Amino acid sequence: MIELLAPSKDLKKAKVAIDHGADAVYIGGKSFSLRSRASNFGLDEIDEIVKYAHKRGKKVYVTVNMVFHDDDLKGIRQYLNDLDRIGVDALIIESFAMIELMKKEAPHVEIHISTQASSLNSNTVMTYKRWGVNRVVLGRECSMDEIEVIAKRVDVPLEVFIHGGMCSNYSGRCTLSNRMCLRDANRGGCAHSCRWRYELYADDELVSDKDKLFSMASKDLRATAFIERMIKSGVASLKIEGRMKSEYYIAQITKTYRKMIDEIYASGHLDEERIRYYDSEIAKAENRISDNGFLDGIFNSDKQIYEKEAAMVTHDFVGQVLDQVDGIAKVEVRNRFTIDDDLEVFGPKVDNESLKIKEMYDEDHNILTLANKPMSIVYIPIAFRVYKGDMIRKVSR
Amino acid sequence: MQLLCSITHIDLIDDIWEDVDGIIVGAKAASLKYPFTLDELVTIKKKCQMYDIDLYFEVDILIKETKRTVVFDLLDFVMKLGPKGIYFSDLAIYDYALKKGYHDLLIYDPMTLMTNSLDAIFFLHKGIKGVTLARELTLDEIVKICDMTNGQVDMQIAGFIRMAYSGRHFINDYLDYIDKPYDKDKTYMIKEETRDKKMHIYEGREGTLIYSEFVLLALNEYLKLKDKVARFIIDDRYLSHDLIIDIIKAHRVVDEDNVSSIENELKERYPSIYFDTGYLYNKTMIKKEEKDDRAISAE
Repeated sequence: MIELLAPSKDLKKAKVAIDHGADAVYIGGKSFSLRSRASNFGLDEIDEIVKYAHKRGKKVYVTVNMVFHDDDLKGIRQYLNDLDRIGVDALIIESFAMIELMKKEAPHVEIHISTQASSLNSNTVMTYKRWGVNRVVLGRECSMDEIEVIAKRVDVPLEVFIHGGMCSNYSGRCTLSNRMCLRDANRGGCAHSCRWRYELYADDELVSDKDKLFSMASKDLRATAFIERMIKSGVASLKIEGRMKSEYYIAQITKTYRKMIDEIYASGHLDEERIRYYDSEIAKAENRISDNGFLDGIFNSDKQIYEKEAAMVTHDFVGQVLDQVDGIAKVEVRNRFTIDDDLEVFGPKVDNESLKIKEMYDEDHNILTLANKPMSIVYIPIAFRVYKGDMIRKVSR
Repeated sequence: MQLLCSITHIDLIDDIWEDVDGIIVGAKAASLKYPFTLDELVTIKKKCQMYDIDLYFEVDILIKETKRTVVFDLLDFVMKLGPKGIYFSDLAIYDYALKKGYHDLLIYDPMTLMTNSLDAIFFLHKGIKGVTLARELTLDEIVKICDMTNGQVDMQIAGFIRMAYSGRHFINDYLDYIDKPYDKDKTYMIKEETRDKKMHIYEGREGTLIYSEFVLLALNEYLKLKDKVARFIIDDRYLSHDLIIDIIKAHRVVDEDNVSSIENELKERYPSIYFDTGYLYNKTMIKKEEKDDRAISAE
């Protein structure tokens, strides 16, 4: 069965991803990763998530995908030793020199080539195989037709991005942020200069529209219409982008693709109505406009974002269930909601159950009509069974 | 050490051959930068033979699955011209050259990714001719990699620097969005709305390239690295005919005694050009600092 691979910034989100149906999670350590500045994964946390995942038959991949300068390599051998000892399943690397290092320092760990390498063809993929690579993450610039052809021509497991942010330029081949902010895009410092607004000149004549300036910003990727073809093409793993995203986003997107994949395996086919349903599920968590990227082989202005992005989330995450005793749910407040709001509960075992609150109390048994203090505790009678970790969201549009 | 010029105009060869050891060209069919047809490549080869300079070939694009045969056919054609070396950025070319037995001609230039000595050594151990260093390295970092690789490296020493490469068609898409026509014969530039310097942006069939707002000029550093680097590259893209000739001559005649005066002469003769040493003394940060991004750049 095809693998669903989800991102995680910290231990809690990694567990959320696994609990909501990911077959594997990818994480970054505090060093050597493109998202190292945001990582909360020290070696102890990596050890804990590996044990958590393996106990459930799931896998953990660690990104070591920074484009290293010589000074960045201090401590890398020990780090590889440690990851090997902990038992992580694979490292996602960009630097090809890391292949040789891993063979010596982390011989039990699989080698996956990052999308940073922008691998777009079968010759490149087979070159990696000869070098000892176990999996290749294809560049996001591949169309679905090209993915199918590559998958036929190679005998290396392929990983394909199916959801999340897209680099406007080839991954790894952009130094806009380096020059414009002195922040190295290839070492975790990307300032997203591609999403800024620019004037465009043709032979020194200003041609851009002052109200709709030039930008390289791309819509996010949403591959719902292509999952069935990916499964049938023999792709090994479907990857969700977003190590910086919230636990709500990770839960909702992971669960949606999990259900979609399972339905395709069960029924053999998804019609357009079902794909639209899954798109509506994704819209409950998505905060950027999305599109099928390069997968349809079409490149035009519809793939880009030129004006201020509209918030797209149709459901706001407002609370998380901590417990339920005798039908009374203990809920941690995350965002404002009232007893008049239309709510919905979802989680690994709860599937979009509508919730209309009749009464709500604080910890001192005071009756509430409004919950608006983040991280405060409220008690809500809920007629159906809910579980620790389930999320409550408000149907806002 | 060789001094090479990457050219986009055939006629330039007649004016620079005395001051360069070779030229780098590519074919329009597999390039974002080079405009040359196969017939023009033959003409270029004849000029190189006439002037006794080396011909290097470059495939500067990432290769999509559907483009492989075009590129491989092109390589078959180019090999008949007897290139001294072939610059490449996609490993499909390494794979093809390895099968054909000429991978020792290859020079790996992944634009941004050759940033450390271990990666340089990794590729050199694969039996290729050289690797081109990333443009965003500091002088100290370059020296270290050169020392670790016995000088088997190439580096760009002058010209506008490629800062970004996309598979998208940014100009066409945007002009379509605001309902204005795209004119392929015009030179396009972009300027971030809060800044005052423009950057060249070029669009071709294979995508879009964005260049630096500055022209790299590093004569002092060229002198320091002369005995450490295999091939220095001067890129002619977007430079006027006179400026590229002057820059090449400057590199040919520069020494410890005249470096300041040569540099000053260039800057005085071309006052509208923003010359800069790029990243050679500008170490980029790995992590975000607690400053406004755009304020950093304004400092």
